[in-house]
Amino acid sequence: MIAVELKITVDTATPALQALGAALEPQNVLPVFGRSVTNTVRDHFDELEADRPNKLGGARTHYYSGARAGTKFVVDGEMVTVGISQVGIRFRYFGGTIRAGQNPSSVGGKPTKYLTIPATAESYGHRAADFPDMVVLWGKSGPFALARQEKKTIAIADSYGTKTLSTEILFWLRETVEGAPDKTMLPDDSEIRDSVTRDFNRYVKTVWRTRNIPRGE
Amino acid sequence: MIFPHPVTLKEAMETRAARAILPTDMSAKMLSSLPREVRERAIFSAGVQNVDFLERAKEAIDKMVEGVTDRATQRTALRALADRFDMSALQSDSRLNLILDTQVKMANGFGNFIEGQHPSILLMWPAQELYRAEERKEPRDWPARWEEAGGEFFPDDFGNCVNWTTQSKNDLIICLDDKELWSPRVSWLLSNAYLQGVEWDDNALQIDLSSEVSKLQRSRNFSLLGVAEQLPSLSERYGRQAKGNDHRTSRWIEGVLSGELSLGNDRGTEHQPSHEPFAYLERKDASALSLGNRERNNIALHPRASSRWLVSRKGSDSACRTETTLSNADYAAGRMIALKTDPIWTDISAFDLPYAPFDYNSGMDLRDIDRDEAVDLGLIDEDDTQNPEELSFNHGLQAAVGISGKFGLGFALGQFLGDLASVNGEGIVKFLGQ
Repeated sequence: MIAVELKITVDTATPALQALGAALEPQNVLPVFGRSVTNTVRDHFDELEADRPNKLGGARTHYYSGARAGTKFVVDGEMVTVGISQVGIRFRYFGGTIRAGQNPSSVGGKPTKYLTIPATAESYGHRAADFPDMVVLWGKSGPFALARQEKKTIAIADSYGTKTLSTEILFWLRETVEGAPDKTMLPDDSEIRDSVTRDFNRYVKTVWRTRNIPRGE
Repeated sequence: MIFPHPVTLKEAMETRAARAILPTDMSAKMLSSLPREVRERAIFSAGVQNVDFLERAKEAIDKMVEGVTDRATQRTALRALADRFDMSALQSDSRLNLILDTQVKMANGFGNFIEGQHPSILLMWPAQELYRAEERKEPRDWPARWEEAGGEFFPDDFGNCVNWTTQSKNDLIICLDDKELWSPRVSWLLSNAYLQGVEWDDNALQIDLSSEVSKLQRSRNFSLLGVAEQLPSLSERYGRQAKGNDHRTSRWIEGVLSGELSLGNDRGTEHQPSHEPFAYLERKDASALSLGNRERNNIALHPRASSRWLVSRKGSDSACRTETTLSNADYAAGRMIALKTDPIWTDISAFDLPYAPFDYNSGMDLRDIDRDEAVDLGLIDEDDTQNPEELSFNHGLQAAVGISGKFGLGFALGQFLGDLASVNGEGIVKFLGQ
């Protein structure tokens, strides 16, 4: 009699390998990279939100919280780009020069001649047009500040002169503003690299374990 | 708009850009009763019927979401427009800020939600945490809302902790007086939050708690009130029951404190009832409780080896600051974490939407919880996966929604929805789902 042996082998490797192959397709793995970096940057902005209140005091504008919410990634082909939609974040990170005249005035609509730099907690987070009762203060070289018309508060123009005035300055007027680069605006490269590496390894491990085949579009 | 498959953020944002304006004189409460699909696709503000204003507001919001302008600039422009249209209700900074902030956060929240539904991301970060991203002078009681919606609290960043506030101004801290029960993270917390300047290294894993209690006792901020074999129950201590008696959290607190419950977790690892003595540590300087956003005032009833423990918040940051608020907090809560697909996100939302913001000017936001942590917390098993929530515009629109003609909304909705809806003579909008 011929013995018949039927061997049944449970193939566990193939499904896992198939899942892994699919998981490494750009449309599946790039979002992991993107979210990993996005989360790292968002956490960083959370720390800045807690650690850096307005220098002038007053109501917070929650600038860094806004930057956090505006941090998103976009997958385009085989590339993922993380962007931060927040006005001024680029200037703060790279530094540089901001010149008046780039945008229309909030008052007249014409190109601005001066930048308005908040001088008090009250003016922080506001535009000059929010204060209808202001007058222009003139110095030897032209206008230098916007102040309340009838306030008697004494203001000392410390960093832009040494005048003592019998009015309340709300905005300094500057034709340009120089900003030093602040690389602490973003997590450093090694932190981002570490998070991506960690999350990629976790991703592969998870796909392998769960046999889950992500089906991103 | 139908999303038959998980959509990318780009798609979602493009959809967002296609939102239509919806002039209405409905109140915020009435607006919240509109179907989610309508609210997601419409730009509106309570009581605002001026189409020109809403068009301009939409432009402002789009620019802010793109990051090409800031709130102050757009607010100034909108106020000028409101002045021109004699819309007095829209001339205040706070109202305009509310409109702009809410809509921008809605757009960002929606984008984050869609992004988080990508299968790979859902696999990696299956849960999320509701947390305070921005401080508020008078924050809403989110733990109460969370609890009311059936949410579960989890240990905070510093370890498995239980803590609560007392009705007195001072802060009572209760710790298990057994060195084996102390995790290094709790020790770290002790050293950093309360014994500032004292640093611990890895060797601190083997600390002798009794000596640490002595150190705490010697420190100027604490006094050792006593050691007891068993803690009084909350009701004994406070003269009334803790809030939410039927909730597991309060039952656990009550049970553990009375010694009737085992210390354990939800996954079958039970421990013996706690007979260890407790050390009572009282913080003398209650005014020092005004801690920053990231310095939660947590400490420590640490059950051994419990991977899932309850927990509490030491009040919100501001709750620590005033006696009045403290007296309202029977016990504090913990981290508010749930799976991304959990319906609780919609349940806690004043807008009935599953993404942040969950209320006007709340200051709360979401952050991802990765898979390892979600497994540790018992939210998901190691091999579990979740299915992305599919967004189908038509899915929720099968029902007719009665909207009184007095709100002037029927025609606007009809225009807004186009072929997807019909409006009858009574202002009833019939959604034509597919």
